[in-house]
Parts: sequence; structure tokens; C-alpha cells
Amino acid sequence: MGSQTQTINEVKDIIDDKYKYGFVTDVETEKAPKGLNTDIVRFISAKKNEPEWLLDWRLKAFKRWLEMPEPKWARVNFPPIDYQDAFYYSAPKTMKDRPKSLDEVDPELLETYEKLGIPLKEQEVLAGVAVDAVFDSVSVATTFKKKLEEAGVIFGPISEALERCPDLVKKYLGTVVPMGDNKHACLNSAVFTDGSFVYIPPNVRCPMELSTYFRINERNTGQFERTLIIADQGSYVSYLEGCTAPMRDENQLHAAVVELVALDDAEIKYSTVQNWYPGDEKGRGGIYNFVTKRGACRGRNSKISWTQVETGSAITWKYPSCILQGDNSQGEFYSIAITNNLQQADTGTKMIHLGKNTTSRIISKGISAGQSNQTYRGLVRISAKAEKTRNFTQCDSLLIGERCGAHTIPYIESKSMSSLTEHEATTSRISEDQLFYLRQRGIPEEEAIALIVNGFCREVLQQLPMEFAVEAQKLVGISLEGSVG
Amino acid sequence: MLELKGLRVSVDGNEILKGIDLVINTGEVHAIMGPNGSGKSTLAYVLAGRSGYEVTGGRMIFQGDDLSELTPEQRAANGIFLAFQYPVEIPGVANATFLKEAMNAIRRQRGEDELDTMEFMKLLRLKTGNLGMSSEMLKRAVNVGFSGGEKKRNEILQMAILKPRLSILDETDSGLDIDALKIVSDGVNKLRSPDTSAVIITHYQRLLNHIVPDHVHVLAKGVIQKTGGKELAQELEKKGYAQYTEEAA
Amino acid sequence: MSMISALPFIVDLDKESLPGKNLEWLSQRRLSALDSFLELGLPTRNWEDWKYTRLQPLENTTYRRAVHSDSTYNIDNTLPIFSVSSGPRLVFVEGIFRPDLSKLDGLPDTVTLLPLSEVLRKNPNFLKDAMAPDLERKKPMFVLTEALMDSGFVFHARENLETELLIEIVHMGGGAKEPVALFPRNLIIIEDNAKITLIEYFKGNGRGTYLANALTDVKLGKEATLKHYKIQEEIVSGALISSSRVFLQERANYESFKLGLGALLSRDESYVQLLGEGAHCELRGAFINRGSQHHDITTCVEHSVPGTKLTELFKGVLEDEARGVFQGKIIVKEGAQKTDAEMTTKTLLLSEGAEINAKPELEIYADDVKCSHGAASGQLDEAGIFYLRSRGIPEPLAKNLLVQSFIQEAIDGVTENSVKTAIMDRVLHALPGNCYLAHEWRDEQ
Repeated sequence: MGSQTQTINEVKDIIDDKYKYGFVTDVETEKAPKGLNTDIVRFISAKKNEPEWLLDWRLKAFKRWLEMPEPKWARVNFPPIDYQDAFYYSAPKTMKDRPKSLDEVDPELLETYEKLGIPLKEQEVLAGVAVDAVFDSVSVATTFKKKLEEAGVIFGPISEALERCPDLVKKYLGTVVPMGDNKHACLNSAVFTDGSFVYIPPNVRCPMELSTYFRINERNTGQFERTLIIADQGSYVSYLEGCTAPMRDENQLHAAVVELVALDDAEIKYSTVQNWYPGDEKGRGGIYNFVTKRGACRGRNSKISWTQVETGSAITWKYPSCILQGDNSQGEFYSIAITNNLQQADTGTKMIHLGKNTTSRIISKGISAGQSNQTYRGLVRISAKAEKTRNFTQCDSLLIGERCGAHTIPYIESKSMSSLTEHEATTSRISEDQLFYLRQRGIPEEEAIALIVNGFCREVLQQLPMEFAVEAQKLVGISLEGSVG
Repeated sequence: MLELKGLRVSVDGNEILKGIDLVINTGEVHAIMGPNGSGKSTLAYVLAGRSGYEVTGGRMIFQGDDLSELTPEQRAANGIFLAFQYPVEIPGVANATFLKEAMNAIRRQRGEDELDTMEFMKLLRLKTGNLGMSSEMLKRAVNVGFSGGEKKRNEILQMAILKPRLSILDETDSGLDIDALKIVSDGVNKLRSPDTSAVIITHYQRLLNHIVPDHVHVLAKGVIQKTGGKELAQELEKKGYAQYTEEAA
Repeated sequence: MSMISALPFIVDLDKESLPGKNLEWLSQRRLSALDSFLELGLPTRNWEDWKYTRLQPLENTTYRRAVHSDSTYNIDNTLPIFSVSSGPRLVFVEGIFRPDLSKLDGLPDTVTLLPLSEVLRKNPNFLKDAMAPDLERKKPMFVLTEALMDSGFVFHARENLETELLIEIVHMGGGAKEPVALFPRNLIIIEDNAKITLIEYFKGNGRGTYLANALTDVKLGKEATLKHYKIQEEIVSGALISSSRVFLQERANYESFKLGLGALLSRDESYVQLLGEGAHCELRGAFINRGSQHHDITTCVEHSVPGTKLTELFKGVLEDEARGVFQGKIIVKEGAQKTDAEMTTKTLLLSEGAEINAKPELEIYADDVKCSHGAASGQLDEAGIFYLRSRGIPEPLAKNLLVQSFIQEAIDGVTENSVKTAIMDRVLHALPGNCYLAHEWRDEQ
């Protein structure tokens, strides 16, 4: 059965239950008191048994956060966030004494991930993918730990890394995304709970795909995970994150920070399939996805590649970027963003060329449907010292329906004569001709749309690891459900 | 196989077809000829079910079903194939993927088993070779960057794969040089059988030298003005359409 | 307010010496515009629209208003008039109308071409209606000219007028001994079905420092056509900020080309509104800048109704420490289906130290549209230089030829042949080490 057929079947299954990840897991939780103040910051730090320096760092961030203004430049609208009306820490009670192995993990939690299509029991897990499962504020399980340890790879919750290799964490934390980078990142610095930590030692090619699956379950809870990936000299890692949340009428905040560091000759491939609950067709509920992701190509010949499939969230505010410091380093950004109903997305990337001979490539495919609005926002900056650099940017928008909007705001700044920048952008819609042609050949309308949209996104879908490409392709079809009459 | 009774069709409120009566029996090849703007392409589109072509009177019966009740994809599953005058480009979708999706969609609608990729590719390579097409064309996106001749050949390839009962060729000869014309005609002729029928829509007689029709109809001013055998096409080639357009005026 | 120290004439705004001093409605408008300006201040780089262009250096100069005697210095009567024709022309020196240098005979009866001051005297009510009071209050450079307008011209072509004449407006500056500031307010009205070609020529003369902040309204009636060419050969002590608002009714055509060769600081803003179905706009231009010149092209085109078309193409060449800015925005409003809009900007950087900042934006609220933009920057193609040299062409000339061919694409959009030739000549002049071979090459085209 073709993937498009699957897409359509999936779409049909979902008509009654549009967002299939919208269920709630009934577990007893331990929460910090509602609201945000220094006591909460101390509470979180204490829960994680953190060293003194980190608590100080958090408190410093919190102080700055209080003074920082909200970023106003993005093309998204939402009422002011009441930061005091949310919980900043929530963990299943069964996680209180950290389980030593999967057998000790609450079966309720394992079942949750199974329902989400992420089995955690080793005999059932996706071959070749190690998963770190984060539930609200804590990591509940990490698979394939042994196999990774044999290769010298450290992969697990950042709270655990603080115990196992505090020096590594201290050396790199906040060096790519400084705490005061923006208000959302600053909040994360103060109250981050869990997230993944990855360290790949020199000259190691990580033996399997690493993956973190984020799940928001609890009502009125924000998720503030922090991910830090360090690829030491000559190493390689491919990392994937997935995200879902229950259907709720209120908006929930997700303010994550991801920092990547690639040293000489190292490569990091970071893929995201973001499917947070987008809200209903009237725009009620859904996640505010305010995420700061940045990678530093610190070493010569290093490479960081971001691939994202953004289909969920009520509001997406996200610009995975690359700082190309090392000579000959490469940055890539491949993005598919789909907005439907009343979703809003303002997403794109920054490619900062500092080193000589650096190259960057941006391929962005935006699909707007319903009454949604979507903006690509990108910056390509070539400093005077970045000789012989290259940038290529292609950004295409597809509009489905008369009431949506698609916007493109690229900034291209070049101070280097020997460098080349190229930027192309187009806007189009699915033409009646294409649709009729496919239908004349026997392909039903919804399937035809999924086929055309998948064709439109193909360049980006190809970048995803095999295991997730099919999933993402399905998601493309599902996200557009109901967008065409 | 196909019966049109007093078919009237409007586009944007203008009546283009003003009562077409036509019977096509199984195994027959009909040519529909006429001047520009006579409604030839309208007839092709309305049979295939393009939106915007409104049936305002009469009926279209295909193998016992009223066509106007069916979606374009249902008509395709029932065996109607339209070779487009201007095949549409679909960026990013590989020709082979598209063909497989189409064939399996039709097979599903017919309640037949789908072909797996291996079986399909075997079939596809065979048919591609027959049409003198390179396998490289299968990897390229549907019709994107194809020359005029390649696009038409691609249409005939689809026809060979989808095995329709009734093929409608809309101005398939336009923009073809003589060699391409021959390849395309050979392809169509190979598909001729006692079980299938075809409608060839053309302005010129030259395609009919290669695909010899059983019946020829002259369509002008929205109605069939005259019906005859293949000799009618030759007569038209000599005398032109003037007499029909004037008569109707 | 720092602006006040830089432009002291604002505080002692001498209304008595400004044109139209006895018109109550005009005084009202001046005062209300001045209020807006004082509230806004000069734009800073924190303003999204002014991210790449700083006006603050202007504050280091103390400008005064130009007075009549500034324009009376000796000017050769055979002005370096731009065009090849000897058509009608209106000449301003330091913003002051010079009837002795102008030539207004030979204009058709249904055309008015006069300095603003004269129209304010003779037919103020026409201006009251024609100068729409709907000024964007958030734009400080707009309201500044609205407040201080002291010069400028009015061009008005009545219905169905068609003329082959190339009509020129010449602005000369740089002759005054002390730095002067000018605030020209221009009005171009082309009524239904009229077809006109206008050339605005900005020429630096002498060495004086000056600032011109111009605001031009262009209104095109149904099926009207305006070919609007702006040739800017300012001296490098001048600063020119020029804003145009262009309004197009059904099937109107606006073709513009801007050649930017001069000025230390120049910013050209165009705000185009395609208001009638089938309206068609072409914005093209080229600039060659060197030294520490700063050249800014900012456009914003709004498609409000179905079936409108835009072609935008700008080519820039930057040498030494010159900086270029291109900000282009295409807005397609809800319901503006079948919009066809294309925007391209390409820049050559010829030196380390040159800098280009580009921001080509799309804002789209309709689905059945064809919109695209492209932006590129880079240096001359090594392979191209080598190819030409291998055919015996010396390196400097080879480079010139490649620069020319780079710019040619934009100039090819100029449909008025004599103007196109004249523009080519200016471009050749502006290239380093221009030599006759280059001319020969051009003539072969």
C-alpha cells in the first residue's frame, strides 16, 4: 500500500477523533505549587539534586527574565501570558525514586508511549533507535543505554548527566544560547526541568539514531526542556525529537532550548517532528511552542543540519539556527511547516557565517490552509572575514483556500565580496488542473491533495531518517484534513 | 459502450455543446473533427468530469451508468481515459510514483489486488520500452521539463498502464513531429482491441492516417453536423470546415 | 530633541517665507505635520524600515533653508540636460525655480507643468484637493516635507492626452556655500487614458553640501500610462531622500527606472498601490556606488484588487566601502486573486569592504496568485573574466564589460529608446577606466 493511501486511511480514521494523540494519561503527579518565583526555581533545582552553580545560574536567569520584555516582532497574536497561572514542575509520583530499569517504570506510563506509537520495551522498540521519553517535567525511560555506553556515547536525561558528567554540562550549558538571549530562553534557563543530554566522544559514529519523545500530559503545566548535544572531534550523531500533548481548551506553554555544539570534523543531524496539540477548528486551546534552537559549528569542517516538520501547536515561534564559526563548516535548515484552521506559525532560521569557506543551505516549504497565517523569517549574515562563503535559500509557500496567509521575510546581509548568496521564494496554490489531472487518472481528491503536497515537500521529507519519513508523510496528509471543501 | 443523448453543456453560462447524439460501440474508433472553438475539447472534458463544464441537458451513459453521477476518479476506474491536450506538470512527484498510485487507486476501486512495487516496475519498464521512452523519464517529476513530444508519449504510457475501456485523445497530434506522431500512433494502435473503444479528437486529418477510424464526425457550432466513414476525413482535409461553419451560421 | 539642533530652521519655522503663506488650510497642514514629526523624531535603526540606513550623520551638519540668492550663481546656460531631446523642461537650482533656464513653450494645452509655488499662487484650490491629506503619519520623512514644503513641481495631464515629448524636470544642487536643506513636494497627475514620459534629473553642481527630502504623489487614472525615469548624478556631498506614493486605477501602467550614481546618502522609497483591476507596475533600477556612498532602495507594492501585475528588478554594483540596501515588499490583500508579482534584486560586490543588505518580503492573503522573489549577491564571475581575457581583452575592460552586461538586464526594461541610450552612456561613464572599446561594444548591440 502506497504511503499516500496510508495517509488517506489515516485521515479517515481521524475524522471522528481528529487529533489522535489527544488522550490524557491518568497518573498521580507531584507538582510544584502554582506560580513562578524564586522558591519555585529553588524547588525545581532541589528536586533535581543540582549543584550550587546551577542553582545560581537559574536564579540569575530568573532575575533577568523578570526585567526582559516579550519579543514582539513575530507575526503572531495571543493574549498576554499569565505566568503565575501555571505549574512549572509536574512529575508522575511513581518517578519519585528514579526507576533503575524499564521493568520498574510505571506500566501506565509505558502504555502511554505505546499508544503514541513509541514502544519503550526493548523487545518492541524501533530497531536502531534509542529513545529518551520525557513526560511533563521528567524523563521516564531511556532505551538502549547499554549499547550506547559500549560505544562511549552518553545519552539520557540532562538531570542524570549533571550527576554523571557535571563538568561537560557546565562547560557547554548556555554557551550557544546565552540565558538572556530572549525572554522565552531566559525563562527556560530559570525553570528547565528535563530534556536530553548527548555526548559523542571523538571519532565515534553513534551506532543508532537517538530520539527524545516529549509528552505534555498535566493540565496547566508548561514544559521547559533543555537539550544539549555535543559532538566531539570527528564524531557523528543523528537525533530526532517528537512531541504531542492532550487536547485541552486552555493554552499551554512549551518553551524549550536546544543547544548543539559540533567540534572539528563533527556532524550533528537534528530532526524534529512537532505535533503538539494545535487547538480545535475554532482556535481554542493548543500549545504555544516558543522554542530557541541553535547550533554552533565551532570546529573546522563541522556540520549541523536541522530538519523540521512542524504541523502542531496553536502558535509556533521557532528559528533553529547555525553559527558557522569553524572554517569550512556547513549549516543546513530543511523545514516543512503546515498550518490549518487558526494556527499561527512564525518560523525560519539564522545562518551566521563567521568562518572562511562556510556554506549554508535553507529549504523551507510552508503550507497554509484554513484561516491560518504562516511566516518564514530568515537571516543570512556573512561577516567581512567569512571569505568564499556560499548560501542558497529556497522558500516556497503553498496556499490552500482563500482565507489563509503566507508571508516571507528574509534578511540577507553580506559584507564579503568573495561570497555568494542566492535567495529564491515562490508562492503558489494547488491548481485545479493538477487536481483534475490526478483525479482523471483515478486518484481520489484527498489522496490527490496529499500527493501534491508531499511532492511539494519532497526535498525536505528526503532529509528525514527513514524511520520517520513515512510518519512525517502521513502527518502532512492529516494536518490538512478538512482544509479543502 | 458510450451513448450521448441530446447532450448540452455550458461553460460559465455559455452553451458550448448544443445537443450531441453519439453512440460508440465496443471495439470502435471514432474521430471527432472540427474547427477551433467548435466544442471538441469541451466534449472531452465533460466526459472526464472536469468541474466548470455543466451538463444542462441530455445524458451520458457509459456502460450502463449515468456519467454525470460519477466523480472524475470513478469515471477513470470505470475505464475512461483522457489523454490531455496540455498534460499538467506536477513538481516533486516522480512519474513512476504517480503511475503506481494511479494504477493502484483504480485497481482498488475495481476491487482488484494492488501491484507491489516489484511487479509494477516490471510492467512499467516493459511499457516504457515499447514507447521508446527512457527509464530516466520515470524518475523525473510528472511532465516537468518534458518536451512537447515527451509529454504526449507520457500520456500514451499512462494509457498503456491504466488499460482503459474508452480512450479519449484530445488533440494528441498537436505539437508532434512526424517521428513522435508515429510512435504515439503505434502506441494507440497496439491498445486497440475488440473490447476497447477510442475517441480521437483532432483538427487535422494527419493523425487519422496512422490511426484509422471506423467513424468520423464533424463537430461545429456545438452540434455534430455530419457523420461518415474514414473518407469523410479526407474530404475535410481538401475542403476545410467552411461549409459547416457557414451552414450553421 | 536632537533633530532640532541639526535643523534649526524648524524651531524658527519662518512661515512668512514659505510658499502659500496666506492659505489657512496649508498652514494648518504644516503645523499638524510638524507636530507629527516632532513626536516621531528622525528614524533610528530600531525602526524596522530603517534597519539598514542611518540618518543620524545628517545631524552633524547644520543646514539652513535655501534662499533665492543661493541659486543665482553663474550657471552655464547650456545645462547638462540629461535627455537627447530638446523637449520642455522645468529647472530648479537649489530648489528655486529658474524660468531663465526652463523651457515651457511647446507643451500641449492640456498639460500643466509649473513650480509648486506658482500653483499655490494661481490655483490653490486645485492643490488643496489634489494633495491628499491622508498622509501616513508614522513616516517622519513624509511629514517633514509636508510641514516644510518649499519647492517642487506640479505636472498635470488631462484625459486622453498623448504626447511623444520627453518632459524633463531638472534639479541642480551643490552650489550654495553653506549647507542647505530642501523639501520639495511634487505632484504628478495623469488623467484617464493619457500617456506621458517624464524624466527627473538630479545633478550635483559645485561642492556645497545639501539635503533634499522630497515627497512625490503620482496618480494614474484609468488606462493612463506614465514612464517615469529618475537619473541621479548627485555630487557626493549631497543627501537625497526621495519618497513617492503611486496610485494606479484600472489598467493603468506605471513604468519606472532609477539610475543611482551619486550622493553620499540616498534613499529612494516607492509606495505603490494597485487600486484598479488590470493595473500594471514596473519598478526597475540600477546603482553604481563607490567610496563611502550609501544607496537605499525601498519599495512596497500593495495589490488590492484582482488581476494586477508587478515586475521589479534592481541591479547594484558596489565598490570600495559603498553600502547598498534593498528592501522590497509585496503585499497581496485578501481577494486580490490572479496577482502576478515578481521581484528580483542582484548585487555585485567589487571590493572587500563593500556591503549589501537585502530584505525582499512577501505578505500574501490570497491563494490564486503567482508571486516570487529572488535576491542574489556575489562577485564577478572568474570564468567570465578569464574567457574575455583569453580572447585578448585586458582585465579592467573585461571587468567593465561584465559589469555592463550585469546591469543591462535592468536597463533593457526601459522602453523609451533615446532614454535607454542616454542611461547606458551614464553607466559607461560611471564605470572605472571607461574606454572606447566599451562604447564600441555597446553600439554593436
